[in-house]
Amino acid sequence: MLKIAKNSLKLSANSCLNPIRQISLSSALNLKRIEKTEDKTTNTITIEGKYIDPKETFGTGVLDLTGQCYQDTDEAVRPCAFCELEKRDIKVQYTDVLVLRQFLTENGQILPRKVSGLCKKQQKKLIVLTKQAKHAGLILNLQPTLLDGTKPSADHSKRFKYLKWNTYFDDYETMKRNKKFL
Amino acid sequence: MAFNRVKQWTTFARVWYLFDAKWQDPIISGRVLSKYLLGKNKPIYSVGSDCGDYVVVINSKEIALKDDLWRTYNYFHHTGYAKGATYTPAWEYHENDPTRIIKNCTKNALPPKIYRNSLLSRLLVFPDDKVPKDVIKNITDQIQPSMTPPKRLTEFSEDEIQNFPRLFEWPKEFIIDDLKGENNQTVKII
Repeated sequence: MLKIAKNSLKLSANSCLNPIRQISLSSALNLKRIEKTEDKTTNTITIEGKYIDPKETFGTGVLDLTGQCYQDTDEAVRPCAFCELEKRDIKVQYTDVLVLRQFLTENGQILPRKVSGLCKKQQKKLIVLTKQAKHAGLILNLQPTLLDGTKPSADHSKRFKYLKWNTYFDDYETMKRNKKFL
Repeated sequence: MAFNRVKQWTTFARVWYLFDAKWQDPIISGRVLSKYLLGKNKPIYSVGSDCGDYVVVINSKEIALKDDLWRTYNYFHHTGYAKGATYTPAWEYHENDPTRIIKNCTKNALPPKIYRNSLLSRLLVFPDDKVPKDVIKNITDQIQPSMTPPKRLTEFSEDEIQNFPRLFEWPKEFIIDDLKGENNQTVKII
C-alpha cells in the first residue's frame, strides 16, 4: 500500500508535463518534500507532501531576464538562463562560483535540465564548468558525504598530492575552439 | 647645469620591483620578469649595457599551473652514470622547494649567456609574504600581474551569497526526493 501511495504522488508530479491530469491527490503549487510520520499507539502511517516556500530557503528573488515574471508564465515558456546572458555578452566561466552553486545541490550534484530549464547545449557547458571548478578546488564546500556520515574538509591544502596546488583553465570558448577539454 | 649630473645617476641606478605571484602562471610571468632583469623596459638598453633591475617575488607557493600540468609535467635530471635518469613530477618538485619553479622558468626565458647567472642573482623569491626588512625598504615600484586571482566559495560571506540574484525559478510542482540516489540519502537545496 505504501508503494502505491508513493507512486501515485509521483504521478501527480509527472502530470504537469501532460495537459490532462489523470490523478491528483493534492493541489499543484510549489516545491514539495515527502514526509513520513508514525504513530505507534494507533499503528498508522501518514505520508504527505509538504510545500516549501522558495523565498524562505533562497532569500532573494529571480532576475527578470526577459522582462516577464516567471511565476505567471508556464514551465515550457521558461527561457534558458545562460542563453539569455549570452545575448548580453556575459559568458559564464568556471570562476563564477556564485552562479554555479545555484545549479548544484549541497552534495555537488548537478540539477537535471527539467529543474534548471537550461537547453541541451548549455547543460553540456555546465558539466564542463563544474568539473573544472571542482578540479581547481573552488567549490570544496559542496561535496558528497562519506559513508561515516562526515563531510570531507573544505581546506584545499589537505587534498591529494597534485590536487592541493592551484590550477587554472582557459575560457570555455577557447577550449572548445582548440578541442582540448580536461 | 647641476641636474644633468643627477639625471645620469638616476638612469643607471637599479630599481627594485615587487611582483605578487598569487594565481600566476610561472611560464608567462617568467617571460615578463626576464625583461626587467635584462633592462629591456628602459630606452637606454643595449646588449652590452648592464642596466638590469632587481625583482622581488612574493607568494611563490601559491603559483598556478594550467590544466593537469601538476601531474603530467616532469623535470628531468641525469647523474651521468648508467641508469642515472630521474623524472620528478611538478607537484613533487614544488613541494620540496616552492621557489624553484619560478626561478627555473625565468632562467629559461633569459638568453643562454655567461651573464645569465649574475642576472639571476638579482631575482629574490620568497614562498610567503614574509620578506626581511633589508629587502622591503628598497622597493619603489610594482610589476602588474597578468591574471586576476579567482575567489573560492568559502571566502565569500553568507550575506554575499544570499544577496546574489538567482537565475532560474524552480518548477511549480517538483518533488525534491526524486533527486535522491543510492548513496545520497538526503537532498538539500542551497
